[in-house]
Amino acid sequence: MPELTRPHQSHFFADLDSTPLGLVDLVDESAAPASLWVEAWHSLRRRPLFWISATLIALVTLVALFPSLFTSLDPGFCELKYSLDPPTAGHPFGFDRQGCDIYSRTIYGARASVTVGVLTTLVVVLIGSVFGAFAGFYGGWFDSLLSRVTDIFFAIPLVLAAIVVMQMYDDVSVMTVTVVLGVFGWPQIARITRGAVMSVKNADFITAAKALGSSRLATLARHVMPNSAAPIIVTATVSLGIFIVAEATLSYLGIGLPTSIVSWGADISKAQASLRSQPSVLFYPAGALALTVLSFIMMGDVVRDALDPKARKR
Amino acid sequence: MAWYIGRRVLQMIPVFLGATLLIYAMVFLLPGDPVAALGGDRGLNPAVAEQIRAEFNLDKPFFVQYLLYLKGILTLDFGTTFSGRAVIDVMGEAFPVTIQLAVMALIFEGVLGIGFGLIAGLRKGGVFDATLLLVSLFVIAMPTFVIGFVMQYVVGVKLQWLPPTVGGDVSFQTLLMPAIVLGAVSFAYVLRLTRTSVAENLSADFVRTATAKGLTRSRVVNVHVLRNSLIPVITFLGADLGGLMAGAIVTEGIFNIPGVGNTLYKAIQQGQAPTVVSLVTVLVIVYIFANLFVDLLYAALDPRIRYA
Amino acid sequence: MSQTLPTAPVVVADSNVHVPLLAIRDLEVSFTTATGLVSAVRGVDLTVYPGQTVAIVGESGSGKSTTAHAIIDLLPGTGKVTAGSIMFDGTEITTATEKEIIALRGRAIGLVPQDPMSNLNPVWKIGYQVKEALKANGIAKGSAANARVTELLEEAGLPDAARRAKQYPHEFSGGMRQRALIAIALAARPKLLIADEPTSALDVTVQRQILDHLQHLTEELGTAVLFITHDLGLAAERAEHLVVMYRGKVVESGPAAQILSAPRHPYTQRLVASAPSLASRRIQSAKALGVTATELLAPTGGDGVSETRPDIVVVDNLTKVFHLRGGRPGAAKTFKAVDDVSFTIKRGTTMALVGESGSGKSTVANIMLNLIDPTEGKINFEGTDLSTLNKKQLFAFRRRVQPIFQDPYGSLDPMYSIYRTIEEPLRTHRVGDRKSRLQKVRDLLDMVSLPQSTMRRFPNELSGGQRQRVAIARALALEPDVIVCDEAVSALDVLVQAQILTLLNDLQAELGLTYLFITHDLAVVRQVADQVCVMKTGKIVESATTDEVFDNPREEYTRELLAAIPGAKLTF
Repeated sequence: MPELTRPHQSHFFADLDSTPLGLVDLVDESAAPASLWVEAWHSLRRRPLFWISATLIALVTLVALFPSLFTSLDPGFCELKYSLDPPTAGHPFGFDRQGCDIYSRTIYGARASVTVGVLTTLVVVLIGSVFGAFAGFYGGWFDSLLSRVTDIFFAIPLVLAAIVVMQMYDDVSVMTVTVVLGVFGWPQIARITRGAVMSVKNADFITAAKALGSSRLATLARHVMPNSAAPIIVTATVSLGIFIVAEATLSYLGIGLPTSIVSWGADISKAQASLRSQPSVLFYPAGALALTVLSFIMMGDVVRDALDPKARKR
Repeated sequence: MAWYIGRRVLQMIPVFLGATLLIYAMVFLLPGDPVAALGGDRGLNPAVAEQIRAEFNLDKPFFVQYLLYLKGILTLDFGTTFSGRAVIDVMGEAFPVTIQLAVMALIFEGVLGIGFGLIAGLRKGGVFDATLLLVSLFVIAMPTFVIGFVMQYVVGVKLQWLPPTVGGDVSFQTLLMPAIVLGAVSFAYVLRLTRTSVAENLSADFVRTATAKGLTRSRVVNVHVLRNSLIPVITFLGADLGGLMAGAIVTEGIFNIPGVGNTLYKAIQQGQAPTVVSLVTVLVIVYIFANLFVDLLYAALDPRIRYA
Repeated sequence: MSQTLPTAPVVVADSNVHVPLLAIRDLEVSFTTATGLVSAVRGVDLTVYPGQTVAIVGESGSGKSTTAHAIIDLLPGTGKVTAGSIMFDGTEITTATEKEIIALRGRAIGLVPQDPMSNLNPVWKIGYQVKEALKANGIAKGSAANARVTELLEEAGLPDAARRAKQYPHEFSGGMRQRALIAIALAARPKLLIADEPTSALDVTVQRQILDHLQHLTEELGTAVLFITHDLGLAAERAEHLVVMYRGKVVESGPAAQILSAPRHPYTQRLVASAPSLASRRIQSAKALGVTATELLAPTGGDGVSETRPDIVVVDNLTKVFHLRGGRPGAAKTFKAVDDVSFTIKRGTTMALVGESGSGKSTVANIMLNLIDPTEGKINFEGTDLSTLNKKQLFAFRRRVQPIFQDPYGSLDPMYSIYRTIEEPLRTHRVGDRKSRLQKVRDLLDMVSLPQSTMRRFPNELSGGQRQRVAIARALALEPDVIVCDEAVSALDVLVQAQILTLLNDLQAELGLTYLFITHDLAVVRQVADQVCVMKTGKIVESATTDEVFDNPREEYTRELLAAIPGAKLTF
């Protein structure tokens, strides 16, 4: 056997000073307590993208709530003699084909888009997370039924479904668009919630809560839902942007909001005709729309990174 | 595998029935009269309205209507357009164009999205990665029609590199720009998904084991990282076909391409409700079948799914 | 195994046993983090001679795996060698080019990784993954490679290798996967095999078979082995030279027997004293010399008086059948997880339910906790049949039986502060008012030796052992009679494990608790249990007092389990 001729390896041990023994499992009492949310916030506030998107979202929300703070002009006041005029003093973006001030129309257009986005997201999160949570937590026939229903809704793409319904209405309002997008948009959140709930519900702390005598509903509300919130929040934030795009697409197709409501989608649609002579007619409402959507999608992105402990550690 | 295909096809039946019922219910159970809407502001002659009602079976009970509509779908009879042509004939002309456009868009988003996503994922945190990520965010935030307008204006009108509209001349060259526009948003999604998936798989245990075997870096990436990373991307591409269809309506409208999307776009503009329903029904059926195909592809890529 | 193994000609022939195969000097490995460069390994010296087996022993975070990964340049993430040298067979690894490293990997240094479940690519067939190792190292190509793949898998102890090579990883059990991984690592006949906790994810009996097989193979091939493990007993049994690591440093190294019999560094001394496998072996040896077991043990509730204690739990002919949904029509089948199980637990004693994965021991625990209903049979708790409880009685029953789980990371709600976690049972059962509950939480934290300031913290800020203490505090909040410990110490490091076991023993003595202790580890049973039931595929195969089971095991399976405790050949 070769080991018989192997050189002798001596017994070595480090002196205690170089590797002091700590008490096993000592609690570090110096650091401030930090819940997962606090930790997420700490990692969020270091990201420049978070501050950029937060500022943009705040600005867009302010514009949508109080457009008159940003312009004194009435977006409905148009004079044909200014048709497609370049920017002048007091009209920094110039005029569109009808001679309306592009700046004030861009400002007032925010309200429709943001309202549709926010309301639709609320509807979708409300319906989707409740259905998804019950299906994922209780399983059984309700889960099977819900899975089939979401399959069916998934088979009809959002915009196609909206087209079928919206073409029937003549007087479309923000509420109509919200209801239609909400009714066809909830299955996605339901699926995400269901998945999140199912991955949490087998955790030992849920079993521990049951063994304590917590009722099923209390366990769902107190333990399962808070731990499933992260993917719902992220998806909802991103969806908000997607719904704004969907609304604009419907307006572009001429079946969304009517021209009597000032909206970016309708203005972009109208701008197509004037694009070649005056590109800024398209540029401003499209830019405002894209920036709004971008800010929500970016926010969803950074929030996802912050809430995902795996991504944070890397 | 045979069991998997069989089960998957069986699952398609309730989805198909449910989806068609849903579409039908949306149109005919909702408040508002689709026939009255046809007349626009002038209103419709009551006799003509009656005739249309009879033609589209609107005078019968809902479920009878639905069954007749279902029978129509199964016998490929989707009714006629207002100009008197059979919807199926119109589709026959328009579909090849749309399929060509969609395939070009899919190739664009698939090849470039996966390619760039792979590079970004391999160099996560680098300058190239950061730039791609930012560009993809902008593309996602931009509605397809805005991208379409801008491309048409800049590339078609200003630079005159590619024809700004298609019209009757359907060829690879004329469809190139519309295909890029159509695939742009999905390209961004595919890129991001590939990137995340590649970065995740790079730190997977089996990749480390493969490296420890003595494989070269390129072999590790091609054999062990890429194939595993494609699994979620393929799933996304299937679901995304729906987005591609909605996008086709917009894109074909902008570039005046004689495809299904444009036909649908015009039908919407002219308020031809029954035609819109027929066309959407056909698109939904295509979508359901495309997803079946994607699921089979998925099973081919991931052996675990076949036995699930 | 009687056949002689084919060896690649280059490997052993020219090895000079006096020249180290691997020489690590003053190694430092650091990771870049948000707060700067943090060193994970400092000043590590390590030598492996050709054909020698050296073991690195350490707890999680000791830097043992990091050291191993540095040798084949596979440090994860931002890890980097920041100082020192790794000399392997004439090549300086720290300065070698990527090409040189790739040439070494597989061909000169093989790696058997830790977790067999995640280390095979799920989308490729097993045979293909073995063949890759042959092709990459220029060993064989084409049909010759296919034949060699079968040979290698057979050699690694995989039965029916030719057919198995055409299967995917998900069709393999954990043990079979680990054998495939061994075949991959040895495919190119490396001079050094790094085995990183190669069997810690497997059942104990499988673990023993695979390690025996691996040892046999490497001895036959003359392969040097660097064996990474957390189990000192296992290391001493398998390696001739030990390197003990603690917090990124080598605290002690030397011949295995010497370290075991005369540990010099206080950390090693603690480790030798606490390792369950060694402790159990020590009791065994001591008994052989006529010393009574109780002198070597922390006092348990038993102490021979258990005969006179009343039964608190009586389990009668318990059977649980699960219905599994098949992937295809008609494939649905039933699975008997628990098969006619009966036992009794006396008040204030510890009953251990021992078995490998799939033995049904956790199902019994869940029935005991009344979380699932048995298909047949019943459990009597202080004379009351659990299946007859109505909703109100069940709620009252919950106060009296509480669980502690294995995974300290999954058993606490990450959204709840420690205070809320421990207070929840009190609030659910409407015990006391706000003020008295606060006092109770303070008392409970004292009881499990955690500072009171812990209660404002969240689980993510605590270590595994601390979380397990919190879980114990939560279980104690309602002052239960019975605690079901489902693998409660299995996921913990050795020293922490010893502390938690001591804590459980102390609490039993103080509060008169009764434990149902579910575990796969007989070594731990030796330290805590009064009675043992050994379970296999749903049935109880042997049931006796702990001493009887260890001294006179009647069943073959029990003997197998006992033999699987590492350190069987060690003497004290």
